Amino acid sequence: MIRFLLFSVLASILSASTPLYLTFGLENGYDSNVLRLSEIEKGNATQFPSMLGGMDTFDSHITKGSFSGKKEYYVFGKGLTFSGSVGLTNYTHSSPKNYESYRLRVSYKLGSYKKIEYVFNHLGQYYLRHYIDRDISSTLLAAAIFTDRDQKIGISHPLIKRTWVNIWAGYLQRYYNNPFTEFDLDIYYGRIKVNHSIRKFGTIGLQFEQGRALNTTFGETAVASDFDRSYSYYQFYIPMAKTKRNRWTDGVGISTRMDIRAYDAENLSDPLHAGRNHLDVKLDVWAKKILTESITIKSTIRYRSRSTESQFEWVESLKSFNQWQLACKLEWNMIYDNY
Amino acid sequence: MIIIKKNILIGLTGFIFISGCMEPKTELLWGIETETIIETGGFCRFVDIYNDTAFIAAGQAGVQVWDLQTEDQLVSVDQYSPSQDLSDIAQVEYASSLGKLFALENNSRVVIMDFINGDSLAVLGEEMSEKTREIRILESSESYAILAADNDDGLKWNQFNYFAEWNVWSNVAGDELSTPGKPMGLDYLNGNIALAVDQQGVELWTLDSLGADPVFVNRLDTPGNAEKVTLTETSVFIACDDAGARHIPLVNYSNGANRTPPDNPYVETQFAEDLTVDHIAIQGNMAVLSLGSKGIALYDISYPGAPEPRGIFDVGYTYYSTFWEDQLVVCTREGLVVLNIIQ
Repeated sequence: MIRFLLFSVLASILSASTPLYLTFGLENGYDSNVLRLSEIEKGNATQFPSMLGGMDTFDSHITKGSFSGKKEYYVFGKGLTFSGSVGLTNYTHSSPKNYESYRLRVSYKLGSYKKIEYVFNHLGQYYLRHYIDRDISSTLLAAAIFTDRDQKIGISHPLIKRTWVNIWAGYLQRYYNNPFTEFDLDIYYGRIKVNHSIRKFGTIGLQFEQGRALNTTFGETAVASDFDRSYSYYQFYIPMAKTKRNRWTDGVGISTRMDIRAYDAENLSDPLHAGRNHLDVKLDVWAKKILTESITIKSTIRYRSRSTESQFEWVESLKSFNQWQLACKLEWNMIYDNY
Repeated sequence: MIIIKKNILIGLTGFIFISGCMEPKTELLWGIETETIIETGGFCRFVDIYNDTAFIAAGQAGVQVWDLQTEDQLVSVDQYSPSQDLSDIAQVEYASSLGKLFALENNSRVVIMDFINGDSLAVLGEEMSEKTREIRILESSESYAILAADNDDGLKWNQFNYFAEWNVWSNVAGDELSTPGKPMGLDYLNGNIALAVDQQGVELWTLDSLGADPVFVNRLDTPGNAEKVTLTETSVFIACDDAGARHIPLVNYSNGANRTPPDNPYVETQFAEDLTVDHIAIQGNMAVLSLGSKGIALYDISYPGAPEPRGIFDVGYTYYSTFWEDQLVVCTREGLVVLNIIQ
């Protein structure tokens, strides 16, 4: 990450005549089910508190600080935009869950609704929860922590009047720390999103994503890697945003995301994973208000429900969960213009 | 414009630099690579290897002898006599200087056979007593002794000498040394005898010479049930069933006031506590734990007082394992599995 910071500094000192846009964000939030535990697991946690990894509660207060910047250049008469952000998330009641995230975006605008983009996301050391390290033990719990690096390139192109399409191809590396490298995944995905701008209202979109996750460490470690964790998934995402202002808000939106995942493995000796699939539904509602010229407030509510399907009823109960997430974010927008 | 392009070039170079693919982490686990599987018919419970010849206790399939290089079966015996089957062979010991094979029926007596010309077995008779759990053979050119962990009698030994004028082997000495525990297994190395006595722990005995009575040194308790023992030059490793495994330095058995405490790396240690361990094989820095239905667990015992787990591997229901040169030979219900350990 030192290289990342070095690059951020380099990028920020690029001199040009366009202004540099900076934003500081501070978010206050709540997560009702930080470890994504099913009702059965919550019941078990009272008997085996070690599965909570040191947490005393299932929920947590969350604070998040972020800093982002954007700089635009004109190359061959077209806008080339660099933008990036750094986020630090702190879980008050679950400190192992704290994480850092980074994002960089380069886009080259070719015309109206027409651009090419490259996006880089990095999620560092994200704690999932404690699991049994089956490579060496039958009962020993260890923290499962992974790092995500997601890179995607995409194009936007107009279709018909006020309608445009985004097409993305992406590569996500999800690598776990010791001792859970048997979960390592290389995920390849494609995404298409059709957007439509409705006059005097806002935008609506429909996105479809299909991906293939390859378990790169299948058979590579000990007994825990005997199970192939490769899977295929399909995802639908429908966002709708009303951007027309009224006296209460400067934008409201609602979106739903549905993720359908099916695992490859059909090993009957591992009923927990064999033939398992799940439907993960997320529903988001948000509202934004511009308080002053430079300060904006945005509130979000998310409800998430994951329903697991398996030939074993106990697996379905064990792997299904519900989660509420609330957040209120204050943003301070600044412009630095060096004439 | 030139400055802008230069800056963009720097930016893009940095961008590609940081967004390069990240490397996955690696675990400190060892790997295994299956070389071959020899199907033995019955459950493969035990193997004794001499050069490239494997003498196998194949459960209800009797005794089998295989050439490990060619993977050919040289001979098998599943009958004591035409009217009596070998019921369930649990252990075999081959005495190379005598050309004799000692087969232990499960919790029963020892069947002695002559291994003739490398391709036939002749059953000679039975020795020792019922409830013999494990044996070791001590041999010289014209004499041998059977050391036995006898579950109801204690540590038992019988010596047999060869009488050339009558061309017979005859029992000339022996003893039953009772213990408060129930012997489950034993091992012999360099004059030391380790005897696993179930709930009572592990006893250490010493043996001066063939024909002498073993001398009791001490008994140390272990968690769980001490079932099988494996001696090394400096230590004894104990399979404690569902309490895992234990390492005890031999020096810990000394009661003397001048006893030197073991170095830190050789302290008494319980490990693999959450596994059910049936047997431990040792070679160099490797300890191989037989786990029954879970297969085998590998441990790095570079520091025997602090064994480090190196992975559990499902190789089938495992009873026992031993080393054949650098390869590991595992006795499973599916047969004899020969594999390489990759460190």
